[in-house]
Amino acid sequence: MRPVRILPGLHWVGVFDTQLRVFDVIMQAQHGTTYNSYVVRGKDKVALIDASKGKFAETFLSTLRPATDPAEIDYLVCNHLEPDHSGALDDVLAVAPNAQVVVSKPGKMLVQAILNRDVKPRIVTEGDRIDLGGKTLRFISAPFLHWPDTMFTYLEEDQVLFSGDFLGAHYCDPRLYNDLVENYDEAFRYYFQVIMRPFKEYVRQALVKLDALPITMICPVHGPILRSDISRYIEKYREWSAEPPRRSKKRLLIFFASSYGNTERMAHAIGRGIQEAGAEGPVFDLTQVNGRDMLDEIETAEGIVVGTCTINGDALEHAWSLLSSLTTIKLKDKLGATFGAFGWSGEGPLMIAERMKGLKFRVPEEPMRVQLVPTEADLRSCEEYGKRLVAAL
Amino acid sequence: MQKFECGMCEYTYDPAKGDPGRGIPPGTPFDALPDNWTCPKCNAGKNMFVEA
Repeated sequence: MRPVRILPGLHWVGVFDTQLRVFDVIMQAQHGTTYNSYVVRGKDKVALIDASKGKFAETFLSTLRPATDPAEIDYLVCNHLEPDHSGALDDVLAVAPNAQVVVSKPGKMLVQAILNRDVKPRIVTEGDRIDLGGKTLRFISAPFLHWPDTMFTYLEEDQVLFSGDFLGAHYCDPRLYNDLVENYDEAFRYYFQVIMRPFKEYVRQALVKLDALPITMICPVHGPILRSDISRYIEKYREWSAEPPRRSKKRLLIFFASSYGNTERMAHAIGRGIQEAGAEGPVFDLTQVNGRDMLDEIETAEGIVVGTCTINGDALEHAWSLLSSLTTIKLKDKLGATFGAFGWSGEGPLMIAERMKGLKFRVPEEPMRVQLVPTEADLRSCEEYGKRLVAAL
Repeated sequence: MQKFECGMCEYTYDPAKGDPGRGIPPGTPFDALPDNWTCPKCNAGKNMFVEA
């Protein structure tokens, strides 16, 4: 790979990872990805913005060298220290002995834990500047997009924003610019959903800062560089990170997985109780829906009520799967409750309730459990249970 | 009493206030917090706190 000259004094020096299909264990990346780094050269100083993934250190250095002799690098700006951008840091520093690492305050702790030595980094905060000689880097605090350390770097003279993972995508196309590559809207959307979604309030804060900034180009660390129609991408982030509209009625979503219909009958009884208490309690069969498709619904609800029967001493996989699909939404203070019919042991709802507590759901009621076929009295208890849940909101 | 700030976010632990949301009463020094106590804002571990 060769450096790509973006503007006078600004080069892309990245890695094309065309073979990647699963990123970070958790993400699909059917179009591969890129690890973008950038060299900014002023009259007096040279800065490298972000390193690369460790396994590509050699490739990265060979792309970097035609853009700058590593020994000339004065500053190594780490906008984000996740290993896909810091893994090659040690290799870069080995050939760039004059480079001072530049990080945010949380970044200092992380860089220490990555290199396991103190490189005496320069800590920058909102508004700090480094003058490279006719090229001024200004640092913009942008925490939790998507790690505590993340920040943006803004090249003032050229109005270029180095945005880290923000506005990036796992999409590898050597044509590099958003107006040259094929349409990658889906990869852009998916990246937001998996990476930025848990941090919507921080996304909104960052967008306010970007609104005040003249921007002609956005250089993220993954995927195409945005140089045309930039506002379209920003507006998508604004739309996806918007606060959900307030509902007039409170809402508890009921999910169930039922072998013989007993847990299902409990689900509907709890739903009736919730409705009688003046809230909404729609019921979903976990054999028909999955958590990933319900994220918007769950995010805007006040809580979830999960029913599972017990088979061989465990909750059903459907219930576990639902709870393991919620990592990208904020659960703290949402109400959680569990219920289920069982044959003779009935641990399932108890285990799910414990898991909910681990996920920071508020679990105000003990699980509602019924042995085998619920009686009319059991179903009335379920209705009362639903009412108590609403009362606990 | 010495305040401690989270190295990962802007939260500062003030012993005078404690962390009542999680059962830590006012007046609890940082060192007396349980080892499994975490930042109320970002869940970073106790070892990521530094003197404010």
